[in-house]
Amino acid sequence: MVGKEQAMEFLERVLKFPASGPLEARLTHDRLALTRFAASSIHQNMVKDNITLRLRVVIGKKIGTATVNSTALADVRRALGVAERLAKLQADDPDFVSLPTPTAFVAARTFYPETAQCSPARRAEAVAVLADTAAAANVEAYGSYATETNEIAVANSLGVRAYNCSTTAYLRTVMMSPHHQGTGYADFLSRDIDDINPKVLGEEAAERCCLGENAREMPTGEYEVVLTPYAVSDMVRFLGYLGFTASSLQEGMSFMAGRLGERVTGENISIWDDALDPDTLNLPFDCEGVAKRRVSLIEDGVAAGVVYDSYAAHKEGLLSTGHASRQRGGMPANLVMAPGNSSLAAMVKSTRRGIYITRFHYTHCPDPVNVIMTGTTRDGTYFIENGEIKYPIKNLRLTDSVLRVFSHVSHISAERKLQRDWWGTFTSLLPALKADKCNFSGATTF
Amino acid sequence: MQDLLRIAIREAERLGADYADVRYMERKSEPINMKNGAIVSLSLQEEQGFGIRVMVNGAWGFASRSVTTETELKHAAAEAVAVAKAAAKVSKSPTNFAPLDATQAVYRTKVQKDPFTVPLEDKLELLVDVDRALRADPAIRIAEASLLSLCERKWFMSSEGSDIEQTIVETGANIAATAAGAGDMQRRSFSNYGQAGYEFVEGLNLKSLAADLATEAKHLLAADTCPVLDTTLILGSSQLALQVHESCGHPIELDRVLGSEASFAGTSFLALGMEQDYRYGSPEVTIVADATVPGGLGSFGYDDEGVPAQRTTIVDKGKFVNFLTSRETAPLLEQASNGAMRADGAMNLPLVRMTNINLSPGDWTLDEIIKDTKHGIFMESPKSWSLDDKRLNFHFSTEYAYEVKDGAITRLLKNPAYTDMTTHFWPACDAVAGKVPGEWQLWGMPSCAKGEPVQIAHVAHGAAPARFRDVRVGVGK
Repeated sequence: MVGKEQAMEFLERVLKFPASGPLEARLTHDRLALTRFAASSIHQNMVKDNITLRLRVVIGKKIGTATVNSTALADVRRALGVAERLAKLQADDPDFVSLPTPTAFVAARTFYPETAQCSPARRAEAVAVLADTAAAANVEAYGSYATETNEIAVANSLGVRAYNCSTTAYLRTVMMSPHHQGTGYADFLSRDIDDINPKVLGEEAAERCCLGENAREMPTGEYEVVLTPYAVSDMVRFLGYLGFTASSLQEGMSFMAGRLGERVTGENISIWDDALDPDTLNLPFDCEGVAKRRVSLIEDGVAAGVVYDSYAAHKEGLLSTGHASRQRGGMPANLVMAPGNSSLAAMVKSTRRGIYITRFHYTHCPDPVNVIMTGTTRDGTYFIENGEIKYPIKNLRLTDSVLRVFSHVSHISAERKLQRDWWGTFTSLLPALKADKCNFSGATTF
Repeated sequence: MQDLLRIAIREAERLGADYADVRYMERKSEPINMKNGAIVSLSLQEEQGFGIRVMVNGAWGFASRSVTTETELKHAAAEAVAVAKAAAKVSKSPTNFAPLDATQAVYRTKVQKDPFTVPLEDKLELLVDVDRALRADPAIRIAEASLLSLCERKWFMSSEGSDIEQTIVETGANIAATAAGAGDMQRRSFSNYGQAGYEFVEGLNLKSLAADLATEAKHLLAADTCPVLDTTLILGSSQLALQVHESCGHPIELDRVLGSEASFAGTSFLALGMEQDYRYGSPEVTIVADATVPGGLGSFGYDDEGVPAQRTTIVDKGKFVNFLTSRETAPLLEQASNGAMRADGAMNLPLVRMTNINLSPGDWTLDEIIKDTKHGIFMESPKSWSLDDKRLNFHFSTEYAYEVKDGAITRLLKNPAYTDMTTHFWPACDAVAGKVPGEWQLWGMPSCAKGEPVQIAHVAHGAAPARFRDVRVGVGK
């Protein structure tokens, strides 16, 4: 680890370099340890350690950036020269106002030493537990176990100073029967590796896998659906990156454009972004060093707002909500959906004729304005009839508007899970849902 | 550099590695993104670092660092060995690593104009001109234009004695016009990248393309919506390139077949043994993996295991004959690696990746295909793509389509989409164009995601328009 003292000292030195205008320096240090396994055997095992410095120079209303993964002062000086040259070449950006000014943020507990110090042996032991659990069910385990330590330090000429160090541990597994007829999935994500129980995870995936044998074909059409948080995460993802950003609203591309204050989903749906909630992958500030704020996005089914970085906020005379990301315009990072009072078991029980969906694969959005998503189910898809899971079914392709599905949600679970979507775009705190209408446009053969 | 890298290999061997290779890379990229006339980002990104891969007791270990000093190289070597030893405890059988002769070689992209010596002013001027052309009509709400210049210099050294230096240069552009009106939005875009100098960008004729795209986006607003029906589908070259990528390129990666990507990217409907007698497509369909194509984003001198670039037939007149392999997976087919191990930089592990996966040109022209089609839909330009985790069921939407009736193009259609099964689609191909120059084009795609952590590969696909019978179109808007 670089550490707070050393990181901030380094940034202070960088800010003292002569520059033609306000300067922002962001230092990130990421250490990833990852074990991947297939057929209950480790096939990739790695450690990656990367340090990156990003400099952003402002000359009037022109911005230039340069990135190097070095802290050697000669490299920093050269990068600064490049950023200045790039800034000077540009025309003024009339929408740019300023780099952010300091905001007060509260340091949060985001670092867990057990996670940071996890050894390859500990990860291997977890894989062995999954392999044993799989063997007991006559199936095999596939997946990955990652631990990360991420440091971020931000400083700018206007007084922003911010440092944070966080950890994450993420274990996920797909269990597959010998001829891959049945598959089952489970994952768990936390800042604290001690929260992860490989045996419980393995049993969840193995149970789903064994339930998946001898899947039957299912006609396409409209069904009731029971969606686990794994599946909900891929639906919320589209709302997140297509609709909840200030830039998409300002450009008129968001489904929220022209509809703020109007109903967009069922009134039982509320979604907000809250990086201060310790049940999320919490963080005190964004990559501009601006304090994170809770932002209501959909409140009781009504379009309520979007998240901002400093650029997008200043454009409207607002303050950043602390959602700067790699892309300009703001991006949610800690989506939270309000819980209900139901459970997965109650959802199944209430279903007359429906589909239980564990998760989706490779979803995409053919129509962003109407948030139409398409993607196939995987790793545990079952037919529900008269309140009971009847039998596994071959995977189906869901093609429907997320807004339409979320307008027909009848049950929301009280229990929520910290969930990363398939693409890894967001980590969200999500309940399971039951929707009374959902359209399936196709089916696959397994 | 080589002397420094040798230190890591010696250290790994001293600590008990049976095999070690080390890669070092310096990567420089200059993305420029403009939206509605304003620069959204203009940056120079430099990255350097090394990765050492070792095999101990038949298990792999890998460690990488951005700081390349003798101390860090030794630490990384020790860490890689420790990681491999831990992996060996949960490995069913030792890795069978195909032998390879040591190679000393240098490979460089043939470049006429080094993109990093072209004045930035010239690049910005081009983008401004493109932006003006895109926004000439008030119906265009959003105009986007971007240029990318990239240079990678990398070294590969192994305990077997290989010593390879490669310099790869890439350039390309992406432009798009989004029209809005009457409660609708329609987008037309163009994107292509090549392993070449700035002459590649100059050859794209972006200003003229931009004007065409803006007009097309506006016309789409007034177009009829693509109907839902089972019909004959004709795909344009760029859409077919993506189709090849998704429903041919990914399923033939042998590591996916073996389950290495099961929890994220998925597996494959293909299995070992199917290379003996499986019919992938109709006799019109021949697919090659060719890492030697000049200008291809998937071209190189040597892969990231030191295996020379090759041209491998994957589908021969419809018959499936081979997978993409590595030194670890090829022995399962009793073959040597066909050179498809590629890593996103030196700090990531190499994986089995696509190179340039090309659909060979056929003996039709697009005109002949249209004239020979009684009823059908011509679709072009990718908009969205989604496939199941075995790469069987797929759904693509494209930016535009034309109805084909009685051998002629008729009305423009918006919101086109099609869905099918890979196992039905390729056998249903009955005509591939490419008889006349220009119909077969190579499309560079610098954004193929795979692996954990996610790695982005730069690949390319050559394709000419082709026809497919009995495909469901118009599904899901």
